[in-house]
Order: sequence, then C-alpha cells, then structure tokens
Amino acid sequence: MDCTLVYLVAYAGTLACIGAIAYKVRSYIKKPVHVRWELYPVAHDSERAAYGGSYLEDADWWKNRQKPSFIAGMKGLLIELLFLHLTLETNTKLWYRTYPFHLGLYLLIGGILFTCLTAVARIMGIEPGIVLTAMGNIVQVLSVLGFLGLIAGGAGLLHRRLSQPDLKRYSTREHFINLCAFILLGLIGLLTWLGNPSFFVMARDFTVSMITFSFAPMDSFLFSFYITFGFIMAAYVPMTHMGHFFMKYFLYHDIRWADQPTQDNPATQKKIGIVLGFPVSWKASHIQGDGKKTWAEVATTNPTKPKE
Amino acid sequence: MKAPLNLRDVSTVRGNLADIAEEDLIQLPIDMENIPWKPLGEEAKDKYCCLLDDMLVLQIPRPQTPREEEELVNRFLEGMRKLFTPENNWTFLPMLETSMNYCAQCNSCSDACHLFEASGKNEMYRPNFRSEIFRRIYKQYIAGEPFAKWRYGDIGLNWMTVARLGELAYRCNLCRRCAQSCPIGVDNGLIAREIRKLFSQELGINPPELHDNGSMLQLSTGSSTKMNALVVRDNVEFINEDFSESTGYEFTTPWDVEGADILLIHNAGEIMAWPENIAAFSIIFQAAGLSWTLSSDLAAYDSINYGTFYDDVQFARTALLHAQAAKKLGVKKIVLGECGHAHKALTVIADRILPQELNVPRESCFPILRDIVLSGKIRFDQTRNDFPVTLHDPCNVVRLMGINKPQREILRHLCPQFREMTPHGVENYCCGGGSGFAIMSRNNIEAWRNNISGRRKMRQICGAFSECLGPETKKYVCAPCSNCKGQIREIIKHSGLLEKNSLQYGGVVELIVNAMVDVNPGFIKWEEE
Repeated sequence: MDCTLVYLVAYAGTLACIGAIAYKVRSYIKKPVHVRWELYPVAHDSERAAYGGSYLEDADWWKNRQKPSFIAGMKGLLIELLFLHLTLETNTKLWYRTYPFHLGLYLLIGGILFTCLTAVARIMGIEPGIVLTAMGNIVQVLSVLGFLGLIAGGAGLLHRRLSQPDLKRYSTREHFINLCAFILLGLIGLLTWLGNPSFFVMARDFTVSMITFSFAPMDSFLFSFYITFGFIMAAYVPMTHMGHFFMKYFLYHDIRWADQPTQDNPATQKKIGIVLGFPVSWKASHIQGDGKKTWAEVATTNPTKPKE
Repeated sequence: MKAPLNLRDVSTVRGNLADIAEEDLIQLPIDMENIPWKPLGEEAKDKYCCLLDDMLVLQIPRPQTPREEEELVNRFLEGMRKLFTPENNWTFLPMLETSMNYCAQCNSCSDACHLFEASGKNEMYRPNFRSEIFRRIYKQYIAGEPFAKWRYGDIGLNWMTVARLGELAYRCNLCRRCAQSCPIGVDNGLIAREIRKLFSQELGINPPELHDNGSMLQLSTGSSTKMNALVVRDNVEFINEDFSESTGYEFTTPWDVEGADILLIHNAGEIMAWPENIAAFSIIFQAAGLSWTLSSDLAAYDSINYGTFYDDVQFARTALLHAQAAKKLGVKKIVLGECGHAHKALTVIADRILPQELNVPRESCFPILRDIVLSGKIRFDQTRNDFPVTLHDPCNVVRLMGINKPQREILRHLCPQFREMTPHGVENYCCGGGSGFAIMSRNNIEAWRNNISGRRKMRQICGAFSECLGPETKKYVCAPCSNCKGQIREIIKHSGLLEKNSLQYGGVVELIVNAMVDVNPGFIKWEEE
C-alpha cells in the first residue's frame, strides 16, 4: 500500500520533536544568570555526596576547593534516570507502576537506536553477519519488552490515578489522555510484533526507506499505524510536562547541583554585571520600579533614608 | 475529618477553607499542650481577607466593592507576569518556570512535608496544593497555553483565589524538603517564596514582622531588634562584663578592627535573647587567638536578612550592607554566627548578587569552630558535657548548604552521650519556625507553630531521647540557629518541658564553652532564668 503519508508524518514528527527539544533547551540556556539555589546532596562532589556534604564544610574553602567531578555528576544523574531512584525512595507504590512504564520507553528508544545502526549498515552495503543478526534479535526482544512495559506500567499508572483519591484530585484530562495514548501505542506495537514474522525487519526497512527517501511501501497496516502514531507522540511529548526527560539535565545540573562559587567563574561574574543593569518595574512603595531604574540602582537605594 | 479540599474550592468556598481538628494531629510521647485556636475577631475579618483557617499572616486588605475585588486580581496578575520576565525576576526565573512546566503531579513531595504529616495529611498543607493552583493560573493567564482550561481544569480566578494563595504561601516553612524528594527537580518551596515575593514586590503586602519591623528596620536603624550601633555596643560590653565574671574567664569583644582576619556577624537577636551565645563566641575566638572583629556599621552587626523569605530587593539591599562593611574594614573573610538563614543568604544566594569588588569570602562558623576544638589549642573536660545531647540540623545550613559534618565532629568530640535524630543531616525536618515564623506570634501563628509546624520536630526530639524522657535526666537539644532556637524555646516553654522532661536547648558554642577547662563549670544553665 502507498505509505507516503506515513513517511511525511514520520519526517514531520522527527523535525517537530527535535525542534521542540531545541526550542526548550535554547529558551532555558538563553535565560540570564540566576542566583544559586542548590540542594544537597550534590552528586558531583564525589567525596561528600554520600552524606550530603559540601566544600562549605572547610574553613577557607576558597583556598583548596576540590573541582566538581563530571563523572560523579553524570553517574548521579544516570542512576536517577535509569532507576528512578528518588521515586523508589519517596513513593515506592508509584515506582512499581512508573518504573515499568519508563523502562518500557527506554527499551523502545534502545531498540530504535539499534534499528538505526542496522539500517545504516544495510545502506552501506554491509552484509548481515553475526553482529547485525544479534542486533536484530536484540531489537525484537527490546521491542516486545518495551511494549509490555508501556502497557503494564501505563495501565498501572492509569489505575492509580483513578483509584487513589489524592492523586485523582491532581490528575488532569491531559494526564489521562497521555497515559491512554501510551497504552494504545504499546498495544498497537505489541499486536504488530505478534502479527508479523519480524518486527525488526519491518522497522529496519522502514528506517532505510526513511533515510534514503525511497518511500517504500509497507505490507502491514498495523505497522504503518504504529509508525504514524509513534511519530505523532514523538512530536507531542517534548511540548508537554513530559519534556522533563531532557530538561531534567538542567534541573539537576544548573539548579539543584549548581554550587560553583562565583569567584572561580569569570563568565558568571560578567553575567552578574549584566543582570544588575536590568530595569526593574516592581510597583511596591519600597521599590518604586519605573521600568528605567536598574537592579543595581534599586539595590543600592535605602528606602528608609531621605533621598540625597 | 472533613472531606478533603479540591483545588477549585479555593475560588468557590465562602468563609474558612480549612480547619485542623486536634484529633487529626500526630501523637507525641510527651505531654505537649496545644495552644487553643481562637477565631479571628470581627474587626480583623472586616479589615482583612480572612479566608483560610483563622490564621492571618499576610493581612491582605479585604476588597469592599466589586471594583476593588477586580483590582486585586488585576494587580496580582500584573505581578505574576513580572515574575516570568527576565528583567524583573532574573534571580529565580529558570527555577520558577521549570517548576511550572515539568511537574508530573505524582505527589511524591507530600510525605516529605512536616506540615502535611503533622496536620494529619490535611490537604491545605500538601506541598502541591498551592503550587498547582498557582501553576494553573500561570498556564491559563500568563503562558496562555492552548486549551489550558480544558486540559488542566479551571480553578477559577477571583479575589478569593488571590487572597487565599497569598495566605497559603505562608503555610510553608520554605524548608525545601519537598523539593529534595522530587524526582524531577520541581521546587514547591520556591513557588511559595515566589508567591510571597509577588505580594511584597508588586502589591506591597508582606508580614509586618518581616518587612516593617524586619528588613525596613534593619535598613533604618541597623537591626530588626531596633538596636542602633551605640546600643548594640553597650549591650555587648555588658555581656563581656557579666560573663567574664560568671565564667571566671576575662574576655573582650573587639569592634571595628581594621585589617582583622575575620568579621564575625551574629544574629542580633542573640544579643537580646541568648547573650550566652555571644559570650561563648567571644570566649572561644579569644582562647583560640584568632584575629577577629564585629562591625558597628549599619546592618553589619545583625546577620539577619529577612528578604530571604519574601523579597529579592530587600534581600539584595541587606546583603550589600553586610559586604560593604567587610570591605570597609579590609577583613579577609566574613564568618557567620549561629543563624541558619543568614548562612544561606550571605554565603550562597548573595554569591550571584554581589558585584565582584564586594565578593568578600564568606563562610560558616562551624568549620572554624571544628578546627579550633580539634586543634588542641583549648583544653576540654568532656565530663562536663556528660548528658544526652541531640543535634537539630537547621535546613538552611544542612540541606541547603551541605554543612553537615563540622558540627557533628564537635559534638562527638565534646559530648559523650551525643545521639542523632532520625532522620538527620540533609533529610532533617524543619524546626517549624522556618522562613520567619519564629518571630511571629499574633493571629494564631503561635498556636500554629506549637500545634502543627513544630510537631514533627518534637517527635524527632522525643525519639532521640526515647530512653530518658523523664525529668530525672537532663537533656540538651543542640539547635545552632537563632530561628530554630526561638521555635524550640517557645515549645519547651509553653508545655513546661524543662520542668516536666528536663529538656534544655541551645547552640553548639555553649557546649564548647561548657566543656572548657579554663571556664568555671556550669556555663549551660538547667533552670529558666
């Protein structure tokens, strides 16, 4: 069957997903410097993270401050991302539902990456050997486990949102729509996987076709539906609160763990100079911002003293 | 218990939104007496928006006409828009915006909150309750998200919503334990602070204890205690004389010494309420042979910075005065005395507010005290501290700054019966007086602190002393923060826990001096004076 529309949706979905992520990331990093607002433990302090300590525990800390460990920071973030460690600690009942859901997504993303590799290998004319065959088998396994995770976890989350009064009160239409959409995606994927000889081969051939713009026809209606729905979801997710999957990096590294003192950081010093020149328009009588006075001027004005 | 609140109730319910029944409060193993909750008077109800729970922190003038009601909403929205502009809110915009956009509504934060737990899980205290109201207003009116009303639900924005949201921002101690438990990094404590800020910076509405009698008084006279430089120097002189005599250790407190290594800034409230803390610092620093000084410059003898709790502009003004005093004296560093919010304010938050020329190094007193105690410069007799001691971790010092070990190393060295609370360190619970409440006592605030906000901490304290709760064993709650001490003092005093349970409180430095061989025994007093 002619699947041009499916390919067009796939291209549009890919572009929209990348565009939305880029827009959100750019709009975050373009913001001016903010004050420090860290929260301990800070993972990149490799010596003290275990008990929540910081370099501020040393007298004259500015003389011998240990540099933050990039590896320890990434390790902390990865443990959180891969195992949803904080949810396990603070909300264990929810973790039993949300972890399969997230794990399902991770497995599917892993499957997509392997599929892309095999597609590139095919385009380059590499003969399928042991490695590529193994990768195909891995995709088969990752996909079915991913679908099951999405369905089981999504259903568990849906049930919890409906059955727990405290969670129900805070659940919106959007939560239910999102969860139903993911469960549906998992179900279509699972049916496609069960109803066809090889989900992997279909996925790889589709990827080859997409990369080479050959718009090859697809035999399975379910698979084309899965692809269409999947790319629509890919475009939609970063635009919602579910964008936390990439914004978490900034929430952790730029806010929660941002303990770098200004004195070590000429770039931050320069940025502080800029924000102190921003105009203030807060109206309260002790500020009287008129949209022209700067932060520096307002902060150096003592409202209790007569004007000079 | 009544049916739990729904978010929309904030705009529809007439009269009080919530009440806390005494039987819902968590139980304690000691005889703690609740302070009766008195209904607010008719005068207050006519004058202010009393719509939450018969506690009145913010005193928002009650609109008298539909036009005034509309004006309150419009001014609120105007302020809210400013909160989301980089020019007006560069200080906290990224944290606020991400907390608006990425919350998954999993409510993992709820069980982390001492207020939610202590109140018997009253919905009003769920950390996400006020945040989600604010978030929905943001999405519908500020961000203008497509179909926001349909997607998230309409909570209804009217003058009651605004008034309740303002007051709800003061049903939080800003301890940020909820933020610590959030897997995504959403910060409900920050949202409460931003709402407070909106009311202060745009509408000019703030608690008088924090603003008129707090930061404004500090900017005019130098201290929220009303002490000017002359009075503060007189009082410290009196402390020197009085404690030199009682301790048998002759000491002085240096003032305005140019070129000293250290500018020590105390919370001036200590001078009035806990002079032994001031004396203890002077004794220790003198015994250790440090080069140090206090400053009598405007605001520089009082480390408090109440702007931390409600207003960025007031915060910046005070922090600048502290830094300017240090610069003027040419000291090598500022050391902060036992005041938690002052620690966080000047060391961390001010770090990206002070221009580089005023960025004098700043540190906590605990590392330097630890180094002194462990250095062997001072002789100690640990048997003088041979009574059960537990440590309260001030949120600002521990969870928000990571200063965890130094104070413990001191206590382990000097106090043979030191024991931890559960949980402790970065997972501690707030004392219940955090974010300015410890200095407020009107309109049922005192009852709130005693019955609800301080309850979880008291349970922890009881747990730490579980085997010796009776009056026969003297026990010491070490709370190295003026605000926390104020809160714990009130609870101990109201229920007579010093008499009934021999429960005393104080800071770290008092324990150090109490164990000093060169000081007469008995620095810590076990009776009320």
